[in-house]
Amino acid sequence: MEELLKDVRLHIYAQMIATAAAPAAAETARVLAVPVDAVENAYRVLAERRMLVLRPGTLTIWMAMPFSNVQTQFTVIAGGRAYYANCAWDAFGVAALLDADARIFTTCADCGGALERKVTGGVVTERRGLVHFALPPRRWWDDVGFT
Amino acid sequence: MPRGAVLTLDETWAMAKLWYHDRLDPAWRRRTVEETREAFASIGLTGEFWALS
Repeated sequence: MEELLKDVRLHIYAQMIATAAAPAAAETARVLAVPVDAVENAYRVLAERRMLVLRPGTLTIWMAMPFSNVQTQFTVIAGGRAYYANCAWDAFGVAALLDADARIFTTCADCGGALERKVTGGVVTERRGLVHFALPPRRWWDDVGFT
Repeated sequence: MPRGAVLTLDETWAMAKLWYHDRLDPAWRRRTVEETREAFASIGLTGEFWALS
């Protein structure tokens, strides 16, 4: 079981990095040559362990943190591909996970203006701005979509 | 919207690296509460807001 969970998790991230979209369980099953029901169960277990987030009531991946599988206000361009991140922290997280230069695009929550920030050579090159964490970490999983 | 906490971009970047640099490691697992507390503290995130219980 643990070996399958590892393989499934790594495949999800590999696909997310390669295509900016998370794979369906059937696709993961095909690639890993594993029965679909086993992969569906792996998706459930990974979600229960908070290693990914499924859309409520489905087996569709919503978040493979820091990536979002749905459009968000945080776009990250890295490695020649555009990704959606779940929040500002995760936008920087995409650069950290990929260990790559990145351009982060969002809008200012205060004034609504367009913002671009860059990570270049492991450094944030434009430091103006602040990131608001509305909830303390002990409450992040109360409603992870809001978080 | 709760008042929450505010981090600089450098602090957010430090947090992002701490959290995600090893996510592709096959052996990656979620941190325990104690490990998370220590990780936050290592980048200066302490105090009531960052307390985990």
